[in-house]
Amino acid sequence: MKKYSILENIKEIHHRFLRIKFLAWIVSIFFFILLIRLFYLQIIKGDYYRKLSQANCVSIVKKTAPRGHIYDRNYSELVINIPSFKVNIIPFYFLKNENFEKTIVELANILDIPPEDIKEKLSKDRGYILEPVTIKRNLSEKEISLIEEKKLYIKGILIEPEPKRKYPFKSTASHILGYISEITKEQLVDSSYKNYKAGDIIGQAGIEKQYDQILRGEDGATYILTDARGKQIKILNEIPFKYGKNVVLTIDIKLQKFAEQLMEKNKYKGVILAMEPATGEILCMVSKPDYDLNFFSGNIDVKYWKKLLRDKDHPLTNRAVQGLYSPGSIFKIVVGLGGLNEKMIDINTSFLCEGIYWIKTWPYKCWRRDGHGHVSFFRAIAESCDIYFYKLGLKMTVEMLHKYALMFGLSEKTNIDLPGEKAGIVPSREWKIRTSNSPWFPGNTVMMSIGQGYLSATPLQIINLANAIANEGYVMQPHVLKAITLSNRKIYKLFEPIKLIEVNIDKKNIEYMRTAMKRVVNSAAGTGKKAFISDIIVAGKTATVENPQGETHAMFAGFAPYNKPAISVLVLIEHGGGGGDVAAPLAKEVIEFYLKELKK
Amino acid sequence: MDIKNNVKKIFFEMNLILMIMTLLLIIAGSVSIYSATFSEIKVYFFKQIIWYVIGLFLMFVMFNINYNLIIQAANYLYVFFILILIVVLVFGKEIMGAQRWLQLGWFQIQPSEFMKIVIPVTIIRFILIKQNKPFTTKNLFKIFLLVVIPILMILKQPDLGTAILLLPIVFVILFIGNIKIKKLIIIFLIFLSLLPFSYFVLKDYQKQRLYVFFNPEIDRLGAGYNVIQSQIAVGSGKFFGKGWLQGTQSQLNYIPVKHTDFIFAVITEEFGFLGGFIILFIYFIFIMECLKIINLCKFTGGKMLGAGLTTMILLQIFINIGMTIGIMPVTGITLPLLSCGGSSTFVILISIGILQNIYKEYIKVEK
Repeated sequence: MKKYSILENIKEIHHRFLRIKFLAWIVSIFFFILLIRLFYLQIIKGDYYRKLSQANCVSIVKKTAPRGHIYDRNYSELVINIPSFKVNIIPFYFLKNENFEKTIVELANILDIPPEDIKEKLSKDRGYILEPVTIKRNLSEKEISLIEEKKLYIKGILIEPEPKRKYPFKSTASHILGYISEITKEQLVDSSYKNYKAGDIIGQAGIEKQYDQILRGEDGATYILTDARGKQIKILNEIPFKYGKNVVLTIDIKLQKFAEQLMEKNKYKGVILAMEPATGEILCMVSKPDYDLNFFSGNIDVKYWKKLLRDKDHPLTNRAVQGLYSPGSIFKIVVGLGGLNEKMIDINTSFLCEGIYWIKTWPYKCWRRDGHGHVSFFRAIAESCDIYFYKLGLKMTVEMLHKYALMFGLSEKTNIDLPGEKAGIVPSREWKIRTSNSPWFPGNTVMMSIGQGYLSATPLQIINLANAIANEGYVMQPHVLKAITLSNRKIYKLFEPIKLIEVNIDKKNIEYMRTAMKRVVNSAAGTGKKAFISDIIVAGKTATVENPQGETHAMFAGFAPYNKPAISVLVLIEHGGGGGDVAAPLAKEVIEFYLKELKK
Repeated sequence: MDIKNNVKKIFFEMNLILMIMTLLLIIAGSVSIYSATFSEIKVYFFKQIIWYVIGLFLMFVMFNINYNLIIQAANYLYVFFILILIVVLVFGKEIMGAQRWLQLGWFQIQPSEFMKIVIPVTIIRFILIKQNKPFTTKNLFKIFLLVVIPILMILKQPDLGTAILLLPIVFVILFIGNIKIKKLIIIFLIFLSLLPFSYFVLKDYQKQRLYVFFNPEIDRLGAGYNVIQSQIAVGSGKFFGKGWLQGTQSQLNYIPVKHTDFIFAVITEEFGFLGGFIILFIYFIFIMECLKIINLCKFTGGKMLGAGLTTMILLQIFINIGMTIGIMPVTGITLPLLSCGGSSTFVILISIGILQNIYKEYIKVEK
């Protein structure tokens, strides 16, 4: 009995020993787990957490640089800044409010925005704890006073001043100036916007977009060491902002306004472009329909924006650089000069126009149904005889038409300093095979020789045809930037005019073309005689462009005065009718106003 | 001569490794609490020094009281502390939504902390009395009652952390008491099946802590804030740390209750992985030495008592550090000898005193 008890006892002691050993293993496992986790956090993820801890305690208060102003060529203010107010929320403080959910709804009601928008903005990740979120910009006085009231018993709401764009000339020149808005989500992931940050206000069209880097200046920032309660410990670094530079345009706002009124009076859609041929400066650039800049100031009016996007007339498109049209009879300048230069014709070579021209069974008509009879060079241009150019074109072949079209800069961007420029198309045999997999027909050549068919160009390229003749053989780079100035009006940089195109054509032939274009306006049978001004000699070319959508486009491209051109003009009225009847009179008014009123 | 002999005797009878580890932890605690309270509340540091001194004194007292006496007095202690818990529930001081503290003159004590010693002692006495067959179903039910009554009272305060801690301590005591493994597993399973019901007992903020534990991102600035900020602090320490008093997370108050619950985050932010590793190593040696003492002890009572106290210390280490580095939910359990606080420091040092006494009794027997 006793023996058994001792045995039992030894067994028990052994059991205990094993159990303590078991505990020792458990202890080891516990410590091992802690060590592994510590290793993971501090060694493997150490750099990540070090960065987080730095971001945690440094608050960055951004100081937005005031955006530069935009002036016209006479230093009239086109775009300036005025103070406005925005409401910011600092989520760190705001989310500590009791029933902040209710407050969000109240705020949304005051600001007239959906509460989900606010919630979404609040839920986004922030770089540091005190980073504010902008809920709405451009507050009305009523909104400001209502929020000031709320601020008394809600933490984390701020009203901050912010410069806002003002347009003294209302919606004039909206396509050139463009608008600004907060950078979009899509732009933020786009690599060409990689220097921008969320919440930045950037130019979205026109000059505001083109010269955004110059206009925006450099934002400043204050780096503040902040403790967990949001208390400022000390200022680590202060970077002052740099003012945005001002932009002076080549635009003459009076001419711009005058031209826009001409279009509006007749409810025309289309383009009026005026340039200084010798320098390439754009004097006015009207593209109708356009949009009202004031809807873009501060918060973009969403309803208005959607309406613009839905509009079938594309008011957001700057037709002068983004619209593609057949140049029509204005292209005859190119064909005529090509023919002379290749010695296929001389000025006395005449073709017979019977009002209709047959290629096999296909009829090609002249605009004058009874025909022009025997036509030579000057009459062909002045009266815009189509059959003369059909025959000339067929003689020259498509290759040569293509060569001279390229020589005049068609299908090549002019690189004007406005965003979204199109290049247009100059067709050729292999182009047609490539794009439509069908061969080039003589009919295609016929259409091309009067600037119709596949040929397309921007109004800016079309006016350059007139510029080439005005300048007797070269075209200057078109541009809207005249100078960049500092905030004290000191000139920072002037735009140096550059030659864009040098036309490789005998001077004598260009002189013939100038004379012919003078006759377009100044001879009794000229198609453009409605552009005639008694004391100024105007030269030009009309075009009446057939198009599948309906009524013909009316076009006129010209320059004046004849001896020393100071202005070139392109008028394009979509579905306006005949170029001579509709476009030429408008061109006359623009030329007259500019030369008589503005240049004295 | 007499004093010299006494000192010699004390050192001979005391487990030196345990003592050295204890002192190292106290030094580490002083250094880190100084840093944690550096930016504003320096008074805590000086208070803590006083707690350490009083605690060390209590440790020496316990070292000189035979642990069997404590076991014998268990019933009185049990009744006494139950009464105190009732007093706490009625008159207790509320701090941060929990009624855990009793105001005694210029300081507060937290009686639930002391239950971590009293309950183990009580059930050990019960087991020792039922010498022959301590683990019959009837007896186990009695043990269950002994444990559950104070746990419910502690839960009412509410002090979830301490309540949760008590269960494993009891398990380990039964385990070392040589209960049949089968029975232990059955008990364990019964508790496991009861666990889902405990969800209904939890307060909203406790539930929130649980959700946040599983996904801190759901509430980055609210309940998840502590967890995320603590991990940022730990991780940003990298290998060598940011240097003493240089931790941005600590000094700029991004870590909540950094001098008590999150003291380990302060240590690892400022002293890096190296500092964290050294602390873990000290604790490891400490616990292993405790297990050695338990193993050496010749008496079931001493073994069970030592095991209970060691389990308590181990679990506090694991749960507290675990919560700091994001592998345990946030509970108010302190880090032994490093966290600032009177009651928890006393309880740990008293426990160490008892463990030292168990060692002393062993040395005596060996002689």
